[in-house]
Order: sequence, then C-alpha cells, then structure tokens
Amino acid sequence: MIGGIDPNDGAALTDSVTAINTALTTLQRLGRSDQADTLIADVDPSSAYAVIAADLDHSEDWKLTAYARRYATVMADLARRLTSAAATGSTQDQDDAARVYGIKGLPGDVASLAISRRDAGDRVAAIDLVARPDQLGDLLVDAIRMATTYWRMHSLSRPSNLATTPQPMRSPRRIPTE
Amino acid sequence: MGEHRRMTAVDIKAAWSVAALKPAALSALQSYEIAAAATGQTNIGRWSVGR
Repeated sequence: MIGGIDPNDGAALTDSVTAINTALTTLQRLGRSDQADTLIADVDPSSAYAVIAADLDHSEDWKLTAYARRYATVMADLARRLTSAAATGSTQDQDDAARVYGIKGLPGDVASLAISRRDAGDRVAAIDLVARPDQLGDLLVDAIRMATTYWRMHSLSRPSNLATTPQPMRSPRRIPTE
Repeated sequence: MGEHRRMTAVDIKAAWSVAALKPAALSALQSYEIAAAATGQTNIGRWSVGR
C-alpha cells in the first residue's frame, strides 16, 4: 500500500486496460484494425476534458477527480466496445473459414472436416473424366458406403435427401475438340 | 520462457491512440492512483512527512 492507497483499488481500470489490449490484438490479427481505430475515435473524450480544463469555479483537486472519473468511464466504455467487436469479428472469421473450407454448418471438429473436405476435393480433381469417367461413380459409391457405415455405427438416421442406392452416373462431360 | 512479440506499426498506432485518451493531468498516475482520485482522494503522490 502506498500513501494509504490500496493498489487493488485500481482493479476495474486495470481490467479495462487489459481488455482493451486483448481486443486490439484480436482485431489486428483479424485484419480489423480500422474498426478498432473507429471505436477509439468514437470515445474521444477531448471535448469533455476541455470542459473540465476550462472550469474556473472549482479547485485543481476537484478537476483531478473529474478527470479521473471521466477517464475511467471512457476506458470502461472502450473496453466494452472493443471486446464486443473482437468477439463478433472472431465469430465472423470462423464462419468465413468454414465457408472457405466448404464445411459451414457441418457438425464436428473443424480441422478434421477441413482435411476431409480437401482430401475429397483432391480425389475428384485427380480423376480423368474423359479417360476414366467410371472412377467418379466408384468414388461416389465408396463415399455412400462409408457414410452408411458411419450412420450405423452412430445410430443416426440417413438424411432423406441422399439416395439409398448409388445412382448410375450421367454421361461424363465431353471436352470439345477441334 | 516468455513470448516476446515484435510490435508492428499497427500495434504502436493503436497503443498510441489509447494512450492519448488519458488526460495530461493524469499522465503521471497509475491505475490505482486514478481510481483513488476518482473517489475524491486527490493527495496521491504527495509527501505528507512532517504534517
């Protein structure tokens, strides 16, 4: 304790500063620094400080108290705004990533889903549709077989929009030749 | 071992903007001193020896 003041008295303000720094780091990582700048500018207390500075009716001690109250309020407000923006940004970032990987809306581990989705795409891309169009059908049959096994293992019902039996493939796309 | 991250220009800009929110009258005070000042204790940092 220094000069009769308990350092823990500043916990709320310290918490605000910590929350601000954490949120700023998150927003910078998400590439949303401009949003952080806007929020900081929005809470600009300079006009309120100017009013206090121009006050001729009160003592310097009174002004110090007024500055301190205003500053604490501004920091708490900024912490709340930046934390909210960071949380929203993080959620949006996760959604964007899920869309990019083609796994948006699918339950399960994000990393595993993304890897599976990439592997599936690689397998399809590796097929020569002109020379071996039957491989695409084989791949679909395998996929449905594995999915059926998974559903049985986990006692899940089959989605109604998926055919019970693999349907024959349509004619493969033909690449026009000159 | 602690992690040391190099501050980017963006970091510095944001840190400067936040620091600028602090009024000059409070620039020398720590958070707990500002909290005390907010409650009306304005003798922070002043020596009271001999009083």
